[in-house]
Amino acid sequence: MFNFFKKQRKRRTQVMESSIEKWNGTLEEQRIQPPLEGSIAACKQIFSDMDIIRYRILETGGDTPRRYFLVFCDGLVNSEIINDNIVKPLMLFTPAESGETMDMLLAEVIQVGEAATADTFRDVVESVTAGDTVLFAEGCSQAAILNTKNLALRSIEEPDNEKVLGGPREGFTESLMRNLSQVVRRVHTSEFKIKMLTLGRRTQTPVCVCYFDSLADKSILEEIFRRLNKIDIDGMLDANYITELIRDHKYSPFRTTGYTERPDVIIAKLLEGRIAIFVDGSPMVLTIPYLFIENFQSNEDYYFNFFYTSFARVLRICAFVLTVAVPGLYIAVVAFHQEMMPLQLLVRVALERQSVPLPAAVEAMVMLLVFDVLRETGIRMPSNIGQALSIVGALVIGQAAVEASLVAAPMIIVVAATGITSLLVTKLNAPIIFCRFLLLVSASAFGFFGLTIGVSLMIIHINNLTSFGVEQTALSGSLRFQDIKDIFIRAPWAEMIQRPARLTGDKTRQAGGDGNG
Amino acid sequence: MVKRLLACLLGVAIALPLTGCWNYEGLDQLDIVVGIGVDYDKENRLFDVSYDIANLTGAEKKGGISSKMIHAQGKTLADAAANAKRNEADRLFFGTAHVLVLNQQLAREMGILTITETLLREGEYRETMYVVISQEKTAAEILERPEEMSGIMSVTLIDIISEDKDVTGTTLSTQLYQVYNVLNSTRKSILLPVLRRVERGENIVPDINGTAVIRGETLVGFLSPEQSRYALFIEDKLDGGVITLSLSDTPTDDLAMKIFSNKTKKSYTYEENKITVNIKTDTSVCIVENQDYMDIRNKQITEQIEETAARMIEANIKSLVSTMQHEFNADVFGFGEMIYRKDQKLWNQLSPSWDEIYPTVEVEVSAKVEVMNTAFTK
Repeated sequence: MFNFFKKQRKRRTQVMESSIEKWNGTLEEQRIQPPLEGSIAACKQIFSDMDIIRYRILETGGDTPRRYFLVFCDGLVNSEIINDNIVKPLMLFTPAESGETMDMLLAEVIQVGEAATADTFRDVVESVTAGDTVLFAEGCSQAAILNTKNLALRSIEEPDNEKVLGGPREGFTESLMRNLSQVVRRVHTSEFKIKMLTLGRRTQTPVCVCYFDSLADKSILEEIFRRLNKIDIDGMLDANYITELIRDHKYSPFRTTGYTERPDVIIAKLLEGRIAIFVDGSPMVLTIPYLFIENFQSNEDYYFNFFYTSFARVLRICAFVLTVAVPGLYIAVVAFHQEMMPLQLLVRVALERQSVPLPAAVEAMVMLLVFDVLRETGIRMPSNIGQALSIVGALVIGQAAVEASLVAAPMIIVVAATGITSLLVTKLNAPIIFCRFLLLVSASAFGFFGLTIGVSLMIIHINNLTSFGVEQTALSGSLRFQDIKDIFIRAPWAEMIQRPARLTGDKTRQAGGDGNG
Repeated sequence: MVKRLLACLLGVAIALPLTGCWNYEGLDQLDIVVGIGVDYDKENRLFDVSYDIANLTGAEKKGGISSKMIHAQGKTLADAAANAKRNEADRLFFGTAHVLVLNQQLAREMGILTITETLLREGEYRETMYVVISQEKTAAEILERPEEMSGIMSVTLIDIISEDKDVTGTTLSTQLYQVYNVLNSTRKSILLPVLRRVERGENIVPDINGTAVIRGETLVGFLSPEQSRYALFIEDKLDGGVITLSLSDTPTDDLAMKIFSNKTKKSYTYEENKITVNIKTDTSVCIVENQDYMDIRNKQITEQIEETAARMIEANIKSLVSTMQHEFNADVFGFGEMIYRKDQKLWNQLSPSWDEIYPTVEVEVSAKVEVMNTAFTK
């Protein structure tokens, strides 16, 4: 019986291996040979069963007949370019007697701006599947890769999960090149470096590392490349793949890389000495290193008056503390240390808790789960049935449960407060759920003592977080006044004359001090 | 990793028994005690304890919460508390008890130290509980809610006692730990607020009636509300209240002065085997009632008023101290303590016969009154 399964598995793996060989195998590694027939046959074999690949054989007449072979992928190419700028010039071209090299063809005939030569069929495969057209010529041991890409992309919009009232509205899309263009056109300096690499064995996704040469910490940069080069995964569909593959703490719920969908944010972070990683096909761009306070920062903080935004930031930090601690605190007070509550409040809560069947701790856990279910439903369900959810959520869970004395009213308030405040710090959504339940469970078991232990563990963990060797919180170590100016508050721009010291060696942001002086 | 985890667990395990109580106790299983009244049944030699608890069972969710009284008897306070569970579904929870009312007979005959000691020893009671002496026959009467009053009786009492020094200034609020600490210090005596019930129209309402003097641990006498105000003066605890200054025999000439702030400094001198205590008060007042229509814009007149008020305060303080020295022989204002703090050697020398020395201590009072503003009306 077991042997049978083993055999089956063996056979399956063998089949897989042979198919991999077929794809990555010897044929692709071969160099392009001058006889055109060989190339045609090779292409047809490589792209066998890929019915969207188009082949085109051109023959120019005249005294010296010449044959060309074009390969491209239907749907990815701009056929106008192929017609007007590749086929037409080739047809009209009168070749010399001696024959020509591919370089000559590119230099004199082909009217495509971005062109390169390829030596192996591997390059051919990568180019064709990326939307380029590959040109083979009789007697040439090279093929030409001609840029004819015409990809279907969505337009540039404001990202939904980073909406702002002020500041630039545009967001990244799924196209790496367009994303880069959005950044590069805001930075007119040769200091801005863009390094490309390819990740994903099968998807061959272009990935790009950007930084300011004089600002980025070279050791962090080196570390990034080291970790990126270690990645060996078959597919790279989103920036989060990289986030998890290169992070410092594999199993921590807290982020160790930042992400954004906005070009203005990326540039602001790059200007503080961070390094950005773009992934083709993902509108999310990663920034490294990531400081803990970035969880609470928003790009709007820098576009509005600093009094207002400082208040908003303090509010966000409070919201994090509240959303994590309130359920635990409530249980600790209600079930363990009743004397901690003001008398009148205690009496009111006690009145509400009379005749509620579940113990407060169980009640809290159930209600928090219910809230999370509602939240998750809100994200997953089709948007046109949203009303049904709010009716169920508000009416059934809220009103009916309280009126039937199944749930105490203070518990509903606690859950509502917890839920609303958690939406203020979306970047911390994973740790919030995790920490909240940790504190709730420890408070349910040991009251304030458990809560204290839980909070201590949380603080120790947060304090231990690093992002590419940079401490995420600067609780330990020396404190610099300049660093505080962008933590709990956002100081006016005139005051922020230095960059965060942990990120870059070049600290001076404003050499001349503020504009008035 | 495993080692670190074990170390963490060990840390938690060691810390667990070091902390306070961590028993899960649902709020719905507790009777919230807000006030405690202690009487003593001499015939049966039993403590008769009344607990003022928040009455949740009959309460409407939208209306206010009233209180309910539970009585229990026991050989000791702890015994009585345990006995209370006999008739109740829920356990009494003392963490929220804010008022302790003591029977005056009990305070006179048995002393209050045993009671305060018991309550401090037990973990659940609040150390910041207000201690009050009942001037009625029993302590329970004070806690009893008059029918026309709603809400929790003890909460009303708490507010009456704790806000007195800011508004009325006729009693000294004293908390449980202070009672214990002061009675065990060199003072050996303390003032406690006194509550009684009075008729106001058709209603019977609680009323604060000065202070009780506790010496050693027993009740030795009462001070009137007016005397208590000067006790507050001496203790530098006065933050409000109104002083009425009689300028002539006709009561319509009275001048009402609201106390803004007061600062009292006490010091002593020891010369030729004689102790002299100096009490200096510095009071800011504003004139709120000027029935005689005096021209208080005139500086001479205000100075005259200040002078008269200062003399009055001096006289009252002197008479109060003398009452304490000769009538009660209770060092409530801590003259001995002053010496103890400043000159330990002298105190060691004086302390064995302090009870005899105390009445002979000379007291000099100098009061200063400043009229801050005269509250003009047009």
